[in-house]
Amino acid sequence: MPTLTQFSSFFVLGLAAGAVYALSGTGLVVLYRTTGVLNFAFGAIGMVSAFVAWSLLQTSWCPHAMAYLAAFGVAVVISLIYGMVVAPPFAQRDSVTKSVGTLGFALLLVGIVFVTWDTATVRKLDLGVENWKLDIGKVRLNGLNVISIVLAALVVALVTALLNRTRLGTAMRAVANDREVAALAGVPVRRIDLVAWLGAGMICGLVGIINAALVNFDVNTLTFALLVPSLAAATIGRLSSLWVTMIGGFLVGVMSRVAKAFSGDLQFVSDYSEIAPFALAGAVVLWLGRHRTIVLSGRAMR
Amino acid sequence: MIHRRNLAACVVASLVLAACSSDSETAGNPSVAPVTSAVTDTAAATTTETGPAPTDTTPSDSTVAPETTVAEAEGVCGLGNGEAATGDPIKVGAITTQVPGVDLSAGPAGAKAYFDCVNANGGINGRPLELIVENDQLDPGGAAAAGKKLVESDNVVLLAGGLSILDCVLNGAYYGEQGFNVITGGVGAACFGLPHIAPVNGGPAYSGQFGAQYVASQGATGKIVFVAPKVPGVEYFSSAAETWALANGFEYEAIYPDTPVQDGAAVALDAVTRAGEGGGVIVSGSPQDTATMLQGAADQGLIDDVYWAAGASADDISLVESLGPEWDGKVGVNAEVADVNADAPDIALYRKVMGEYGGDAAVGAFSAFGFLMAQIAVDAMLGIEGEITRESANAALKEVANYQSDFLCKPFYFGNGDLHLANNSQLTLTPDGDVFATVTDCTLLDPVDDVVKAVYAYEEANGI
Repeated sequence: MPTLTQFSSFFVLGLAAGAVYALSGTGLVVLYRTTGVLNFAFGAIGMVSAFVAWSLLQTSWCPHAMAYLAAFGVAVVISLIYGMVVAPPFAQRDSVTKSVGTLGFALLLVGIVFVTWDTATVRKLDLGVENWKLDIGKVRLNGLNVISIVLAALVVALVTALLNRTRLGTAMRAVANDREVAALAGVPVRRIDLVAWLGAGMICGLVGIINAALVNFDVNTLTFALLVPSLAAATIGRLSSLWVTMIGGFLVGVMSRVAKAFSGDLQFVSDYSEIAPFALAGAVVLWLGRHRTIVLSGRAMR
Repeated sequence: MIHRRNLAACVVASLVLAACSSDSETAGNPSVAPVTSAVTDTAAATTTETGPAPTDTTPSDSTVAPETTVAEAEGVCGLGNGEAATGDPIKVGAITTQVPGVDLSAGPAGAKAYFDCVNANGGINGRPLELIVENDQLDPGGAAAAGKKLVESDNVVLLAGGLSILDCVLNGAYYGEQGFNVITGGVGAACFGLPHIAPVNGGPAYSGQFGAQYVASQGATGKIVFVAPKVPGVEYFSSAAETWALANGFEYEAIYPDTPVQDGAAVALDAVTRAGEGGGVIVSGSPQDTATMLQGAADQGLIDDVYWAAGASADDISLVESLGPEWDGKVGVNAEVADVNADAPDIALYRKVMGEYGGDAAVGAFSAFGFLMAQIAVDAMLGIEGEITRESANAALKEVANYQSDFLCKPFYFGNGDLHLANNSQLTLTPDGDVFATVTDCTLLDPVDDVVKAVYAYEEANGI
């Protein structure tokens, strides 16, 4: 068994990773609820913004704040372009088709990055907050860990407030419930879709920059490795509840990191730490579906 | 309408920004420092060289006197006559591995840069070289097909300049049957265990052993932990370090996180926890993965908890630039080839050729392997009297002996041994600001491993 110190150290790392999963999950849920699109390009858009930020930071003329702002803006623009150009033809298709469209877009973005940047160069995104460190015994908390955790809670609170307390939020919820009824009621559905893509783009930009600083500045990690735990978080939130998605993100992060602390006779726990997102999401899906009735060939089965 | 116009303006502005930033990255990246002079114009080249400041890291048995400047001693590409080669190209084949998370393409990129420079300087007695590079994509079927294509469809004369995880193990025997003597960047065990394949490097397994020797020499006690992201054959990467550690009274453990490493801090914490206070941790993997793990260790305040070593892939300028000063002197980086910033003629030529012909390829150990392989292959072919055919070129490569280079601690040889590990003496570097400094001079691999013992026996028997 890990000692309390080891457990605490991995727990802190899990919280920071979980914050990124929570943020990503939130972006996925907001977009899915409004447009019915499960955005597999989420990580790829953030990854492009991280590369743009890094490139701008290599120049002598671009201040740090402007570099991050421009990178954030690029994520928003890419997301909006998809929402304006690619998403509308898919609007009447089923959710799976819409989502696969974003997977193609993710691969396109990955290709563009491979062509534009030398991906063999070692990169690190320094947000300037990593040097703030708080040591509690042997457990270290740095500025990036704290900012990630606070930001996740803040974004969820803001988005929840937007959805529940503003006219825009009411319109978004109306579209999420029934697009056709909302359109008949005078809700500008296309515009609401674009707002959702804009919001998703903003969260993509945030996640891309934080993730590149927090984990590994690598195309694959930023694009696809983020997707699985984020989808797990969104699944735990049943693709509807932002707060449960956030909690799911933190749970996935903490479980996958704390599992690494086990060794000796419990080494297998560490060896299988990567399956934590699947295990957790699967358990939640099974638990939530325990009273559902499945109909197969006209016969109801419990 | 107004909304759309604003949006369009925003898109254009962002794209322009991104495009500008891409240009700036190339211009500001010291790994591809602009070189304006011709490679053969050595005096002029030196006055305009804008690469990173050289460090005093020349191997101890360098053939260049310390007071010799680069301008005076810098080598040339091939014949060095400044005349472009024309005519029927001599085809050379190489296989690499390039998938997200595992990118060894800098190896053949280094070879191609040197071949391009040779082509601009007379080629092989007037004939240009053409390097055909195939990507195995880490797929066994793809690797086997790539080998067959090079040999049977492309009809390459030589196989040189490759750096692949799968090539040796899947194609090694086939190359032998087809009469090839291959000079390669060794990764898997098969690259070191066949009579007709000679790697210019030591490979990740012996890089790991050098790491174990280094952390022990620095005072590590108790346990040595080897960390390498999962790729096919990763257990082999750990094998030499394990053999050495157990033979020298250490406990040993290897951990293999997913490729690419997703959370460097968690992996570093895991490794340090397992090694225990005062133990040793050897980090292997791509430059980006290695940097991520070391940065994660720094973020968690773990640098001083254990003794650190890193594999040869960490001998990369962009990696040392990405690490903060807190790593200065704190990690021993194995150098299968010498510090790529060293002030020595072959290495200065390498930097210049990479600047002129290397494109985006990183200046680091991998491209240096390719460059060195290409140099050896070119020198072998230039020594052929008569027509250059598959038979004559491979025979010439087999004859390479006592090949001295500033990249190497010991001369390279192909020879007739059943096993090949000519590069068995290597340096250890450590970050020093934005460059590397030598922390341990040329050191021999301890002969605890059967391959090393056999190679030393061969060298002794043949007076090497």
